[in-house]
Amino acid sequence: MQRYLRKHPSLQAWLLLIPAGGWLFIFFLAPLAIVLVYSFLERGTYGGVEWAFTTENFQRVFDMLYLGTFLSSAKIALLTTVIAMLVGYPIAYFIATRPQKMRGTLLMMLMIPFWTNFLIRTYAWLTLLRTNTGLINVTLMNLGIIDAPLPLFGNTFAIVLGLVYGWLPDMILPIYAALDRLDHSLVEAAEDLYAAGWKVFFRVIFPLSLPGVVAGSMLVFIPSLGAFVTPAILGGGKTLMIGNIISNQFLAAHDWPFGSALSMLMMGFMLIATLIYFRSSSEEDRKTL
Amino acid sequence: MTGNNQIAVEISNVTKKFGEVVAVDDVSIRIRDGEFFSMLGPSGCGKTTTLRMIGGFELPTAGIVSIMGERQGFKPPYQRPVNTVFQNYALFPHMTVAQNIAFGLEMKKVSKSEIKNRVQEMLDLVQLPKMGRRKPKQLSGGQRQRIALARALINHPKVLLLDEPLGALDLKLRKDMQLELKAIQERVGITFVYVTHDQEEAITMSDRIAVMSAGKVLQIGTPEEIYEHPQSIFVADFIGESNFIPGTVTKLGQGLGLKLSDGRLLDAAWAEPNVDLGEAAVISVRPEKVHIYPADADVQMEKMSQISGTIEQTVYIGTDTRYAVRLNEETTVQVRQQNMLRGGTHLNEGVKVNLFWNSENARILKR
Repeated sequence: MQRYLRKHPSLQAWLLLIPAGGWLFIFFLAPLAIVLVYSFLERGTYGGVEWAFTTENFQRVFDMLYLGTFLSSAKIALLTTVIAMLVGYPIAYFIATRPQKMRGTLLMMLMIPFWTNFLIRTYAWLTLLRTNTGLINVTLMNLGIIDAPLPLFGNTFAIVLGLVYGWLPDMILPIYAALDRLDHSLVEAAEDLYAAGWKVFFRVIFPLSLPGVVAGSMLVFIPSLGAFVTPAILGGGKTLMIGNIISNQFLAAHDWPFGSALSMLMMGFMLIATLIYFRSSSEEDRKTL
Repeated sequence: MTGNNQIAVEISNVTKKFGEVVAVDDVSIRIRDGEFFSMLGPSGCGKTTTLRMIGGFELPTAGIVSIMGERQGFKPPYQRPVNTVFQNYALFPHMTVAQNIAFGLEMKKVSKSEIKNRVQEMLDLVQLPKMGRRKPKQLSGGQRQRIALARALINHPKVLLLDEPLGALDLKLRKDMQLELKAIQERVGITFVYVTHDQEEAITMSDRIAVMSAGKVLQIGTPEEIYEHPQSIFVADFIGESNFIPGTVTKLGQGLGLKLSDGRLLDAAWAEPNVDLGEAAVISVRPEKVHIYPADADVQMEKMSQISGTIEQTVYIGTDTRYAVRLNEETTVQVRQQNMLRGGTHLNEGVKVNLFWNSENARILKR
């Protein structure tokens, strides 16, 4: 057996591919294929599917109702990405400019809150933000600073806040990696060539950290677009995102084929976003990830 | 070198500490305007830190740095009339070569048309006239080196600081660049302050050299002064090759001499100022200054130091023949003889020989 394998190195390579390949097939390709097939079938009465081919699901997907939700989801995801970048960049910069010894500690402090279950953390925001009983509104009202509760909950603000909070480390880490790689002598060279303060930042540091910013934006935008836990809890059932509609199709409306079609549309959108990223970055830049 | 004697850079009693570590220890150097000045020493001797204090990248813990007579104090790099060529070039990877070179002028808000002309002038100066549109990544090491030089020189600095700029190049390219750098320096007439750990490089290029070790300046002088008249065992050892014949200091005639462990005496024209009689010291003499003759040959040399020994090793290396001559149990002397006749006339191992050298070339240095 061993001798046979040694004679046929390509067979050896194929055998080595079995564990990883099998895993990908069972847990990634097969479910994807199921979703794709379902999206062209008719709905069953109590969930499940009827095995009859139809393109009706995709016609419904392009209904203004769903397309509108889709666009507003994209808007929320974009807003989340921009805010996460504005908040995350200074944090990444701060960590990257600390002495080597401190950086590990700071990165650890960044990660620790995320050891808690995502659902629990989102509910924690709920207790803070809720309109009449939330900690923030109650405190402000008791102190007499405001008369009526602020609209902190059940709106886009709450969802974006929750999403930014949830995905912030995914923005910070790639930017940190890019800044950490930055050769400090480039900063000195810019200073040597009469650039001061912000000019050094905008002409040298920021352009060179751009691959990290783009990578971080991808890592925040994609999960934000498909989010359904955060909008379900902090949206107060009012502001729905595409993720909620998809989960509703499966769990409440029992329309699996339509849910599958919506999923395919979202994946198509994300694929386009990813392609844009790969086109706009060089291979070397992507190594940051 | 320009004729005037104005001081371009004056470093007065400068000390730099990083925490408890003293990187530069009470250093004073005066660099003349238009001079090619090198700071030479092994890594960690404080030469780069000294350079960085001139550039404003580090501030002295104590002491004063003046450039063109003006105290620099806490001035940041962008307010100093100097530019730097960094060790790893530090070209901006996201800009083209032309954008790199233009950067300094752009920051100074020079007009676009003037920038364009001067960038081309610089590209011509460093002999890369058509490389403006390339990215630094597309250039070879030697080309990047030239672009880094152009990017600094375009600003017409009063002083150009160079931090081991040839360190990353291979030997052949290095030699070419040494001569080219020197030629460019002479053409633009700007003071160059050059940091290197390569003694040959410093000797080839410099008008004057400061030899540094452990944060201190040991000797400042022309390459010839440094090579021919080293004032300490470190300088004699670091620059070129040298023999160090150990012994104790003793009075000999009018001056000082050295008594070897076997009792023989050697004289020397110069002794380190504060050596004491009876102190352990060495006589330093360069291998190429030593003449070698077989002991049975009748050779008389006046005003020459003379000592006998036995050849332990003979190595023919083309231009020269090298001998290792054992004087006594603890000492061998390296001798280098030029092969002026075809095939040379080398002496075999085991032959008894007499060594001669002009005592002007022998120096008593503290151990």
